[in-house]
Amino acid sequence: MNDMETNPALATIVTAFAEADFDRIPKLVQKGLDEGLPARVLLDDGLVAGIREVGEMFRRGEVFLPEMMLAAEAWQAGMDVLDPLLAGQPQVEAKGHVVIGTVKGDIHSLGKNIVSTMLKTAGFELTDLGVDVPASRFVTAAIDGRADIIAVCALMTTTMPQQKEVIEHLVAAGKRKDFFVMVGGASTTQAWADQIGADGHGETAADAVALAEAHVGRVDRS
Amino acid sequence: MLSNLEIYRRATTGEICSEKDFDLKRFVPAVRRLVKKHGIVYDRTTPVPCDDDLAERVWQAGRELFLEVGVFCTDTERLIKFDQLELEQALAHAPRPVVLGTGQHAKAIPVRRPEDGVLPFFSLGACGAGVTGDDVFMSLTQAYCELPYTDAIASPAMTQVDGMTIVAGSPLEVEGCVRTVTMTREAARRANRAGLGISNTVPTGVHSQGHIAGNAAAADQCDMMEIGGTAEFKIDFDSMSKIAYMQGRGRTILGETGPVLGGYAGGPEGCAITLAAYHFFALLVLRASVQHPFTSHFQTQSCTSRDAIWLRSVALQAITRHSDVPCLESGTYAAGPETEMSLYEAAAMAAPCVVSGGSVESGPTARATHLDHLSPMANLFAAEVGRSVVGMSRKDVNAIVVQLLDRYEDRLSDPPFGKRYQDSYDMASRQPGAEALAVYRRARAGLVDMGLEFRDPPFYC
Repeated sequence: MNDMETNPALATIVTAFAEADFDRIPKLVQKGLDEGLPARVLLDDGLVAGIREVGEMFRRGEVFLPEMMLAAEAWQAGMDVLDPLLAGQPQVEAKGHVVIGTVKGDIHSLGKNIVSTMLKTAGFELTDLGVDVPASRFVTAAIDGRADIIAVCALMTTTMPQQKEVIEHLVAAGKRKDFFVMVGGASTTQAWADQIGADGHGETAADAVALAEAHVGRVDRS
Repeated sequence: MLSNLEIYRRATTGEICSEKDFDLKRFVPAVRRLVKKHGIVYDRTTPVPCDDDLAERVWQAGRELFLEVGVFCTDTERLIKFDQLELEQALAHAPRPVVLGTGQHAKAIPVRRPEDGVLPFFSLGACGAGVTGDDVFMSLTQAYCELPYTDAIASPAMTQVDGMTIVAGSPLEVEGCVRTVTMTREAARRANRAGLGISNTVPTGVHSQGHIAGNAAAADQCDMMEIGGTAEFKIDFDSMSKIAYMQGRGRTILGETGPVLGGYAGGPEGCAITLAAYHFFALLVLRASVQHPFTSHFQTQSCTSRDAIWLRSVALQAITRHSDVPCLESGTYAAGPETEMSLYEAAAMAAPCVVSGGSVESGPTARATHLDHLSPMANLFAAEVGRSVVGMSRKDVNAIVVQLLDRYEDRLSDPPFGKRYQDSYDMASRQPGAEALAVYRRARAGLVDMGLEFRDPPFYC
């Protein structure tokens, strides 16, 4: 039995996430502290548990992108309360570091933002390069940030070739084997991913998270 | 109505706002609050609502949403705001009527209301889905032109030029756009319908240089170019450049307005009011003479899920009750060619659209993701069903749509992608194979079983 099942303050935080009552999150975290709960417990069994619940609801189609994005904001607001108390304690280890962006010539951000938010809520560290990103920038960002994964998004059939460019730039830099490259976007398929030598293809945002988790070998089975 | 240069002026002088703040502090909270304020609730038992009061509330919520949130210019990171009078003027002063095509193939896009008795306009084609080569492009597009109900053609997107892959922003994009219009026109000529209008001239293009080149080189006054924003209520200079070109040439713009179901607008309720609000975005920002409403479910990438049908129907009713600017609705089907599911989805796309006051641009099959997985048969079927429900009540169409959903709903997440055009049709004669014909007959019989009386005899025997 974990702390959340025994402590109503923690359950209230998770419920606030599930009910999209995001404005209350920092106050509830502060209330938990006032009641004597350790910051680490509020983080693990309050904020992390809450945002995971929202992620699961998203996978089930019960909530949508706004709730995911607002949950991520609420998580950060809660962290702002806890951060001073967590200083000096071991950091929460990210599952992995993902560099993500939409390829050069493509200005569509929505799909990329859904994947980005889901990866963040699943516990990955994110470097979001935005949209219209040149192939070389994916490579330098991944090398400089010591990333594990490069996620390359493209919506249009005429921008998909830029996903191949990213892989070719990695090969040219001698870094192809250093990163797990996954591609996605409305027009992409597994066959396309195979054709260009990507390591994985996500049909949905949930697929992308599953691919990333499988790669880093730290799938949360709780 | 405000000029497009006034929109540009506002984009360069309006209130500064970050994109994140626009999304999370302006758009998302306003959608959530207005859905609640107007009591808009998705009813999964009635995918085609016949509640005029609900449609009215969606319209009001949409107006308030657009007024409150405004538009975000991604290049200047500024807000473009409008007032109530400007919205009224946009509705009153929008250009009309819109006629596509020339000579004997000229056809007006009618203004329709919910449960209208006027036949809708049918734009049939690949709607920008990709094909691999010129041979497929020509045969497929000619086949679309030869369908008896095609009032305008919606071209496929080319993915190659002379065997080289088209990359957005490259010279091949420009060449691909020019060829797309030229070859679509040639396909219409070969079909003995040279005057047929093109509803979206350059789906091959992404950037303004491709769009402008394609239109300048080969499009006519009787064609439309589709222009959209970059995401919910967002516009950039590249799209504004396309608009400036089209306005400068006095040409017709099809205003692409497709909120993603599950995206920034949220669920079906938020998406419905966003789609209604998009009518003003189309008129004022995109300078559209025709709105092109559609939605795509964020998981199934189709317009035919139950919640997507509901929001399409109610938003379209909201708009067509109030505006004389026609709506040419579109949407993608999850299943691919030569599957009964794709034909049932085509019916579930067209029937709600027609009884909700729209005209139909039958969309691509196989989620528009699998190259060449396109079929004139799905478009034909959408038109056959769309023509047959003219004059029917929304309630009766709802009863049919509920039965259609029973036949495919559980497969939307993992649909059959069917066959490529060249594997399903004879490329030279542009006739469907035996298996495709059998699917067509079964789907027609299925619709009859559901209570539909077809207006026309079957096109394929």
